[in-house]
Amino acid sequence: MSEQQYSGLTGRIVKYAIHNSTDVYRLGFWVGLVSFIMITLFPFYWLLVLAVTPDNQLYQMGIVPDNFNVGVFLTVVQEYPLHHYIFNSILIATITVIVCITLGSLAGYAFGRVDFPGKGPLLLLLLVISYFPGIAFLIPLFELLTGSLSILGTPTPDLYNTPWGMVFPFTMLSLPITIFILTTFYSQIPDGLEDAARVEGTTRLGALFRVIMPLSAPGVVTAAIIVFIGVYREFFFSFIMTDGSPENWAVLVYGILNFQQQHTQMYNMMAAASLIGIIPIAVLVILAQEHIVRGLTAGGLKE
Amino acid sequence: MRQKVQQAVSPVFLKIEQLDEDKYGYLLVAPVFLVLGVLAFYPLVRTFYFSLQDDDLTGVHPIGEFVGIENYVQILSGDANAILTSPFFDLQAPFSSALIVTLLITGVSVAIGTILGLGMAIILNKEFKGRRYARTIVILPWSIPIVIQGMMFFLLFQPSLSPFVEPLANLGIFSSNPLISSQDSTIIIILIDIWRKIPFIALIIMAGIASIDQNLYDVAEVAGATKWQQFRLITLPQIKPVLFIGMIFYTISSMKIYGIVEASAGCSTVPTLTCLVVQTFRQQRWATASAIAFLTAVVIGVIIMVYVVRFREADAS
Amino acid sequence: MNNNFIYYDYDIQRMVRDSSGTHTSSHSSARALSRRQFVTAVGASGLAVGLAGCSGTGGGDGGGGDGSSGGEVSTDDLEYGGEDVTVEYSTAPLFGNIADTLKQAAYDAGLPESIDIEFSTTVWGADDLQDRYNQILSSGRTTPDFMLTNFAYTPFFAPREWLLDLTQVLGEEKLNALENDYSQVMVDSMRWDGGLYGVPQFIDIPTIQYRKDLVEAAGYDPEGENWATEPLTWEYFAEVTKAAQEEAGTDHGYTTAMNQRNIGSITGYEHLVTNGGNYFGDMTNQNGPIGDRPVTIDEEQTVQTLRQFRTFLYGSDDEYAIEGLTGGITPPNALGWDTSPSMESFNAGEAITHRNWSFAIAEYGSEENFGEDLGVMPYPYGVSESEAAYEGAGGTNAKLGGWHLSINPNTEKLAATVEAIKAMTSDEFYLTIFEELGSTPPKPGLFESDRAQEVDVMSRYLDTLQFQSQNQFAPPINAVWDPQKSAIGQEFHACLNQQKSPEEAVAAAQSQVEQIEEQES
Repeated sequence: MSEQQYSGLTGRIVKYAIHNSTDVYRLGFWVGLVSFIMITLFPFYWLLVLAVTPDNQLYQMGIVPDNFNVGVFLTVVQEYPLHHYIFNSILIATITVIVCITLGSLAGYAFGRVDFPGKGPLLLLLLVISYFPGIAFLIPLFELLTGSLSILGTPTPDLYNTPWGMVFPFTMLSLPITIFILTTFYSQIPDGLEDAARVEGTTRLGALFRVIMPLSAPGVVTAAIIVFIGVYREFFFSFIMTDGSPENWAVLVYGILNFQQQHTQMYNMMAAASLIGIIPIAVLVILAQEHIVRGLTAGGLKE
Repeated sequence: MRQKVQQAVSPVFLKIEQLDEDKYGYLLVAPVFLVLGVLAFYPLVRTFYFSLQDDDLTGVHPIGEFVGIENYVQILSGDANAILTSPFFDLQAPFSSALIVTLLITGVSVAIGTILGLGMAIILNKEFKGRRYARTIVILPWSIPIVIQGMMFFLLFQPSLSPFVEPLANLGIFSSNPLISSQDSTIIIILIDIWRKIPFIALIIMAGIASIDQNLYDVAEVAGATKWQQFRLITLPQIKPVLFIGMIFYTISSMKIYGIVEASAGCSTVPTLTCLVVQTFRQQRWATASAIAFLTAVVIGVIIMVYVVRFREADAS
Repeated sequence: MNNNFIYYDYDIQRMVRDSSGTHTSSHSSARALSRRQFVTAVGASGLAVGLAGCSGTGGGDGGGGDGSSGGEVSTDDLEYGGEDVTVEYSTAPLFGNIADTLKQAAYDAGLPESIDIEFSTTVWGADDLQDRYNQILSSGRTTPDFMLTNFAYTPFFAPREWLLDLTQVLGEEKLNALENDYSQVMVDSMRWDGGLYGVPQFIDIPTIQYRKDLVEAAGYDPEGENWATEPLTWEYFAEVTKAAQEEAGTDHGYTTAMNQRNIGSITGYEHLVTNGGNYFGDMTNQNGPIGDRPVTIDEEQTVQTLRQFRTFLYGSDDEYAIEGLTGGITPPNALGWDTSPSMESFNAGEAITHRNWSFAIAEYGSEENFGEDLGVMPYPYGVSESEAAYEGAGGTNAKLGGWHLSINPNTEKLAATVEAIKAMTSDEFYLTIFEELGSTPPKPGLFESDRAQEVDVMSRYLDTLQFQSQNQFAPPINAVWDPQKSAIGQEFHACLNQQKSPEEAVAAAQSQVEQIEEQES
């Protein structure tokens, strides 16, 4: 690598880069970070601009709004009980997360740490469920969950307009990815740790909940976040399984789409409602950060 | 009360302790498969059954008589194209074929999105002030409802509402009305997909990186490895399984893209496979729609097979 | 032993078990075998029925179909006994938002106070609503008791008896009124095979809205020439638009929704009909017989229509422009517009003429907007009725729009529901929604009533609305129209996007539509 190969300004930059690689990394880091943030935020900025633009000034909007109508956020909440929709979404998502993580942990533990024949095909079977678009399940599932089906003389429960009418389909849709993630993370915990706990008298299942799960916190939290967000933004099944009123467990997306009429779409209202709807998610993620920490630091196994 | 429950339940746990490996394994996965059996496999079997019947447009029930695999044959051979809103696969019009468009979107999106997601994961893994806020911000695109994702970009590219269309058109990047041009719209859909998937895959990778034993890095540092070498030799191999899972679900999700298409350019401009399924269902052709859904699943299955094989090979080497 | 863990497990189990859901209470009614009872009876034969039958009820074959829904309605069912009952009405947010006002109007119209109407609103994109009703009706749910429906649903729901045949429940008086006092196109759009599956709730009347002030400033005389009830020709219309646009310096001239969804089946279709053309020959062929009727897309009128559009969009530079027709009045952006975006420029004062449904009149004509500066005129025409190629076409014409009320055949509260429907299709009710929402009544006579004359804003345009409502056409109502309109829309859009010549586009559309006709006959 001869330093005379490069000349002029370019040469000086390259020389600097080679000799100060840490600084280059640092620069690259900041450039990368800022770019990601800007690209992420730009459409939201646009959404904000849209939200605060008054109704009749939507035509030919500029990058900066001419007239601020910050009251739109209040209007949106007054027109429809957005908070109720948000509450419904959060509740349904939380229940789904609990069910998924529980069932998924059992299976994840089995697939990741227990040796039994047929693992591969079973995992494949799980994956196959996710190959189908939601609508492929729709008609039979709707019949099943709304009491239109009869098994051996008893009608199936009617879960229309209840949160369970949505929790069940969402659980079904989220289990594959939950199990795959949990399996991956659970399998990475060294056996030694588990054996140590067993020696101290934990049951087999106890080992799962008291040892494996805490140690795989990043994985578990990630899976939980993925399921939660997946349910929070979903619309299809939540559209079909309720009639749309907040008392009947309609979710956030309903609240937003209420502003979409047959011929008029009030984009600014929809934008404002969406922005309000983002707040719970943002809070959730900030709080969950605690648990996506470096695991398995010193203090784990010393061997 | 606690006592009673404990007493009732402890023999069960004793039993569990005594099970051998195999049975223990099956016991653990039983709940999941039971739930899925009812909620997933049963509906799929019914849907498959539908796909073997004929559509009945005028009778009392949308499902007519048994016709075997004829629906599949008609869709694959192109005979069904007249009644489908866009062909499933038409060699003469490849870019309006749902299959080709979807494959294209998925391919480009996964390739670019994974790399960018990896980049984002690495960046967000560094300790810096305000990291938790940065992470929260970048996760937003993926966490908003799908309808809103589509709507945002619809508004960004709508000529009469957005000031960006004209400059982009002048630069020659897009036409003056991108949302009615199939090519431009496809690119836009790819952009939306990448934009919203990066946080998803970054999240998974971050969790993977967080699980790597810090000691490994300390040792490598002491041994004089550069950052790049550390990345290549420690990070990358350790996150391979997680990356693999992430990419699989990324791919599956992109192949099923529908909501953002419907909310932005519309299914007639960018025909995707799920678009086709939904539209066919709406026309009350349940049988044909079910067949398309199954064909979609088969295509996805083949792609995942390819992934699995490549991963096995990479692992072995 | 770690005790905590045991409870954790137990709690989870209990939570899942407790959620076995609510069971619908069984109201036994004297009506014919309800679908639910049928289900239970058949279900006794076990899961096998669920797997083998069509929608899990075993009612797959014709016999099951008749017995489970519709069927014979006895007169006892129709006697409302005066008991307290709540009926559920699934409707659009538009109505849901003024539920209290509407309920009062229903009571004023004679609805017994013991009947309470519960408004449940839902998302109102037309497609979404169809999906939802699809689910509800195909699985035989008993609620909602009645719903807001669209004639686009008729070919899908009527043959399957997923909506109740109202000729059995409405009584002589109402049925007579439907034949005589209502807009016939509107009523007929819900007829199928001798039955009637919906009663009109309001009719949507597309018209041309325009800026009277700007047009007058360009030297024209809308009042004097009676534009309100005497349609212009397209040539004159284009001329006026262009002149006013140049005079006022607005961005756009004539704005309308021209995206793929609209151009083939709504805005483009209207334009074709005003030029004397149609897709299937005479208007009597709209609904069928499929496969046995002419397909008349590949004809001179259609080419002419497309050329007119291209002139409007691109002016005389376009190779297919029509000589002598003023052009360049519609922005090419329109090709990406659905109804809502198409309204933006007119709303902002940057357009002269605009085609839209009647709700837009209430919006534009309000005091905050253009007030009296808003003019409304019927659709311009290209070929007069007498010279039109096909019967029913030609002259001013607009596409039918609007919504109906239909009854869920599985309802357990039939008598009360019928009472509710009767009240909500009374003159009193029609005028109330006209006052509150600008939703135009489906009975042309009501435009002349005193109450109508006093409605804010809309009352200025009653004559145009009445006139146009007598010149509306319905789209084809059958199961093949969906793919057909898709094909037509695609071809027309490609032509207007300058990707094809009009001749190529109509030929392609013709062949695709013929193919679909054949496949289904």
